[in-house]
Amino acid sequence: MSALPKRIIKETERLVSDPVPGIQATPNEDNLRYFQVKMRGPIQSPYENGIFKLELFLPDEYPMEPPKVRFLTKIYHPNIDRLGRICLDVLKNNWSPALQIRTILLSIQALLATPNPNDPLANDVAEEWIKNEPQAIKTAKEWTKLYAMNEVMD
Amino acid sequence: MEKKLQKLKDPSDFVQTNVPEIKDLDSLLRCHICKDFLSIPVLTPCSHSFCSLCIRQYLNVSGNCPLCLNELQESMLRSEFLLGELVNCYTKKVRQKLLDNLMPGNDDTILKNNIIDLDSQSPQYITKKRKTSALVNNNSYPKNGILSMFKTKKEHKFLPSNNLGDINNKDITSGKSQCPICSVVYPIDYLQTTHIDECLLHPKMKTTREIIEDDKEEVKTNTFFKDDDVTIDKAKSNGPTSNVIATSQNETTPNVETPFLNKYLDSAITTTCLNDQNRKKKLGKLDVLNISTAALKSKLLDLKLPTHGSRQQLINRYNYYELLWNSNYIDSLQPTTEQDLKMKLLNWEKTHNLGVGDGNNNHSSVTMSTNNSNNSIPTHEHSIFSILQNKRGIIDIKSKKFSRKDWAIKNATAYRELIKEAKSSMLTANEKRREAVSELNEERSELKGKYPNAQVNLLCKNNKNDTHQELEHLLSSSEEEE
Repeated sequence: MSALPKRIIKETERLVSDPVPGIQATPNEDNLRYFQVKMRGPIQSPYENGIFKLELFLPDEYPMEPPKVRFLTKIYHPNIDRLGRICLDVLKNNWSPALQIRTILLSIQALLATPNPNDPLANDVAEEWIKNEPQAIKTAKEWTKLYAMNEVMD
Repeated sequence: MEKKLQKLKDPSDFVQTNVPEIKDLDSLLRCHICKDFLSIPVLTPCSHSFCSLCIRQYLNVSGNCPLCLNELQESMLRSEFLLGELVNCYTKKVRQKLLDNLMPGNDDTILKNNIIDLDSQSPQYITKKRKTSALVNNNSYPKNGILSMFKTKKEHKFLPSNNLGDINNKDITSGKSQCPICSVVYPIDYLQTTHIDECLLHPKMKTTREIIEDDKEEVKTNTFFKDDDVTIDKAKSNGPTSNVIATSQNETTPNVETPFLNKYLDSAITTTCLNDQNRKKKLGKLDVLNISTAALKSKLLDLKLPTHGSRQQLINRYNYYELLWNSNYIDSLQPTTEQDLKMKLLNWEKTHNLGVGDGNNNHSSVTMSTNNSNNSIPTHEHSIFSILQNKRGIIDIKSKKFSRKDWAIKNATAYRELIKEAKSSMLTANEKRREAVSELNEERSELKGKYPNAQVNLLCKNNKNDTHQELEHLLSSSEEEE
C-alpha cells in the first residue's frame, strides 16, 4: 500500500466536514482508501426514500485512474447489474483527474434519477424498461421497498 | 489523521477571515489534479493549467485534457512562467500573512469596538465588551491606553504592506533603499541615478558596487533616468505592492524583497544563456513493447540510475524519472539539480515501485543517496557509481570490455575477506556441532544411569526420538567432513 497522497486526505476532510446532501461517505478506519457510502434515492424517482449502500475504493493510481464504485444494496436499474457494478461513463472512459469522489457520487445519484436503458448493463432490466416502462418503474419501487428501507443515514 | 489534516492548506482557511473571497483566489491557484498549489504550471492548447508533473503523469495513461476532455499530448504543453511566479509569490510570502492579518479579532473588529469604547470612555465597559464579543482577541489589546491603540490601528490600515517590508523599513528611514533588481541596499540618490541602469545592464556586476554603500561617495549625475522612469521600474518589479509605491514617491518607498520575481524578469537573459550549455535535453519516451531489457538497463545507466529490479520496475523507474526530468528541465524556470530529481525518484519508489518480494530497496536507497550526481565533477561521480555497482555485482559482465583479470585484481581484497569469513563461519559451525554431539552423549549416559528401568527408557526415547536422530545425523556428517 502506497502512502496516502495529500489529495486523498484533502478530499476525505471535505467529505466529512462539508458533506454532499443525501450522500454520506465514511472512510474505513484501517484503510483510508476504502469508503462506505450511503446514498439517498433521488426525489421523484423510483428510488425515492430508499437508502442505498455502496462501496468506493481509490486504487493506488488514483487520481490518474477512476475510483472503483459498486452498489452493495440490490437495485433494479438498467445501468446497474446484479453484482452492483455501475455503467457510468465518468467511471470508465470519461474519467478525468479533475473529477473527485464528491463529483462521482453526485453523478451516480444523477444516474439513479435518469436511467438510460439504451446503454444497458443489466440487459433484462433494460429490456423491461423499454418495453413496459410503468411496470419497470413499479418493480424498481418494490425493490427499493424490499432492500433499501433497512438503512438509516447517520 | 487529525494532525495531518491540520497541516494541510485549504482554500476554506479563508472562510473565517474578514475577506472570505480570498478563498476563490486560493483555489484558483491550485492544480485540478493534485488539488495543491500549482508547481511548475504548464498551459494546454485548450487554455487549462496544471502542474507539469501531474499532467504529464496523466497523459501517460490518457490523451485528453482532464478539464475539457479535448485531445492533448505532452508535446502540446507550454510552460506558464508568470502563473508559476504568482503561485510562488502567493504561497511563499503572501498567504500566511494574509491569514494572520485578516483573521477577525486582529484589526477591523477591534477597531470598531474601540470606537464604541472611545465614546463610552468607561474602562468597565471595555471589559464587558471583551466578554460579550467572541471575536475579539484579548491578547491584542495594548496596555497603554485606547487612543494610542486606535492610532496604531489606523497606521496599520493605511500601510497594508508594512508587514511585508519589515526588513527594509530601517534602511528606508535612513535614506537608503533596496535595489529592485539585485536586492542590495544603496543610498536612495545613488540608486535612482546610477545604480539601477547599471544593474539592468550588467546584472552580475552588482557585487563590485557594494563598496559604494557608504554615503561618502557622492553620486555622479546621470540624467539618463528621470525620477519617473525609476519609479515605473520599481513598480514593475514590485508588482503586488505597486499601488503603495505610487502613493509614496521617494524616500518612504517600502521595497519588498522579491528575489524570485527578479529571476522571472531576468528569464529572457538567463534562458538564452542556458540554451547553449546547461540546458538539458528532453528525455524521450520509452518504446515499452520493443525495447530489450539490456537496452533499458543501459538507458538507466546513462542516466546514472540503479538497474536492479524486475523489468516492469525498470520501466516504471525510467518512466517516472522521465516525467521528473522533463517537468524539471523543460518546464521549470529554475530547474533543480539531478540529485534532487533522484531523491524524488527514490521517495516515489519507496511507495510506488515495490516489486513483489523485493528486499532490495534499502540497497537502492544507499546507491542513490551516495551517488552524488553533481554535474561539475562527472568523472568522480561516475567512479563512485561504478564502485557501488561492482559491490552489488551489477556490472555488465556480458560486455566485450569486461576484463576478468581487472575484475579479479580490483576486488582481490573483497574476495579475500569473503574467503576468510566463510572459513571462520565454517569453523564455528563445526564447533557447535561437536558441542551438540558431546551434549547428546552426556545426556545418553545420564539417562542410562538414572533410569535403568527399560520402560522408562523407552518413554524417554519416544520423546527424544526426533532430536536424537537429528543429532546422530549431525554427528555422522561432521565425522565425514573431518
